[in-house]
This record gives sequence, structure tokens and C-alpha cells, in this order.
Amino acid sequence: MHLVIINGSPRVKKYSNTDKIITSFTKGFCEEGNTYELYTISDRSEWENARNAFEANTDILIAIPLYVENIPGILLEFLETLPVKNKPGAKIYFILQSGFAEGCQLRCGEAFWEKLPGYLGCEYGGTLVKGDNFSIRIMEGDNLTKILTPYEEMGRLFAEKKGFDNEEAKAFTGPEVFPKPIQFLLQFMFKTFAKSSFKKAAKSWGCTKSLKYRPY
Amino acid sequence: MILIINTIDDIQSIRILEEKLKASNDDLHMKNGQMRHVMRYKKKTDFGVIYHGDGDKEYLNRWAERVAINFASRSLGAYSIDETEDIANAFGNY
Repeated sequence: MHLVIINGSPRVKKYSNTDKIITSFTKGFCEEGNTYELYTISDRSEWENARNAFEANTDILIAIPLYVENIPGILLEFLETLPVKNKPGAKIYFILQSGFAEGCQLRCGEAFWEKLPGYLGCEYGGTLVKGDNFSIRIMEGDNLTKILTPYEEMGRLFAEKKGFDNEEAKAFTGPEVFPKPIQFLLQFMFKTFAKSSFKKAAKSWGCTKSLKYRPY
Repeated sequence: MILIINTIDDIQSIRILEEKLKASNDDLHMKNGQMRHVMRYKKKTDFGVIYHGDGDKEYLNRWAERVAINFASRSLGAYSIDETEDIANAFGNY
């Protein structure tokens, strides 16, 4: 299987959590000799090649961070430049990721992606839905590997099952809503450890203002 | 304050909405059982959609609800531009 992968994140590759997820996913996907080509939408110089690849191939994977419950504007702008495909059997698959952890937070976005392939003359190949990815940007080393490795397994599964329309991929999402005790625990963490972790990360990125700063 | 989105496939409107993300800061909290960003400002932005053409009203309503939850505000709903009376009722107080 040869896969055209489009990273729909507005972030540049270096800071893209979606790119890190794709890197891990493709490691598993390529184990049995599968191949892929990757295009990054935040780099407009790649748009023409991405369009050509979309037209010439039948298996397309779009990886997206959830933005305002739906689609990043820059990806929407790119999609509007795509022609309707006229290749029987062409499929579009999606990886939809977000920072918020609960599955229910991504379902509105997923519903949009279910419809999109039809507009582009393609079949829908399923969506791998997964939240809880805030920390990809912050974590390093083994902690980061721990978050990303499950995507490698999903890459293997995708290659084997030819898509995400299977129970294992659906189970990968995790809980739709957290049980009450976990919610209390998370609330405690957000008010303590997470707050200091965000402050530390912001400082390391060169932020000199308080996270509560109100510029307007 | 009210933000009106032309339609979901209106890129400029989506971009404006993305700018609105800055109204939330990085901090998180649990609200109504779900993770949310803590809002940067006390003032809320209610959210409604007025669309033209064959919009998917059901989906746009669902989307407006979700966006409003994220901005700790309320959804004013989604309306075809022809639904003038409903629009006036929903947006009339602004």
C-alpha cells in the first residue's frame, strides 16, 4: 500500500504535534514494506505537490488537530483547491487528534470528516480519533515515546486492516467521558502540577508574560 | 459580544474564529464533566451561525453548540439566511 499523507496542522513542522504522531504512525505502517509520501499544509510551497499526489493516488490520509471543534482554516483553504477525484476506489482516511482527552470532544469534528470524502469523489476510510495530546509539545525522551508509541501500533493495524473501520481503531479513542473520581483527580492536577508545568513550558518557549496576561 | 460566522466553509470567518482561540489561556479545568480551557477574559462571546445555500442545519447547530461550550458562552443556533424571523428572535437582543 502506498499512502499519501497530508498533515493539516497550521503549525510549522518543527512544532507540530500532528507531525510527531505521523512519524510514529508511519513507523508501524511501513514495517511490512508499505510506503508513504508526506505533505505539510503549513508550508504553502508543498501545496502543488500535495494536490498532484492527491490526484494521482488512491489512498489518502489526512491528519488533523481539532481546531475550534472542526477544521483548521489553512487546511480548509487547501481542500478547496482540490479537484473532485475520478478514480474508482479512492479512499480518504483521517487521524483526528486533540489536546482535550475525552472522546466526546472530538465527535463533532469526526462527523465533518465522515462527509468530506464524498464531496471530493472518494470513499470514507474511517477516522482514528484520539485526544490527550497536549503534552506531546511539552514532553521529551521516554515520556514522549510513551505517548507516541501507541500510534506506531495503530500504523501496523492500519496497514493490516486497510483503514480505521475496525473495533481496535475505535477502542483507541479511550473513554468518551471520564468517571467522576478521575474528573476530580484531573481538576486537582490542573490546579496544581499542570499549572506549574504550563508555566515552565511557556518560559522555555520564551514567554515573558503571565499565562493570565490580558493584552486587550 | 456576538460573532457571526458566514458558513463553515467560509475561510475568512474560520480564521477569525481561530483568532478567538486566544481568548482562552493554556490553563485547563474541568467544567460540566469535560476538560476546558480557562477563559482569559470575563466577557463572553455568544456564537451563532447564519448560512446561505444548502447548509447542513443540524450539523451547524451541533457545531455552534460545541464552539459555544469551548468559549464558555452560549449558542444562538444556526439559521438559513432566509429564516429572517428566527434570526431576529435569536439575535435580536444584541
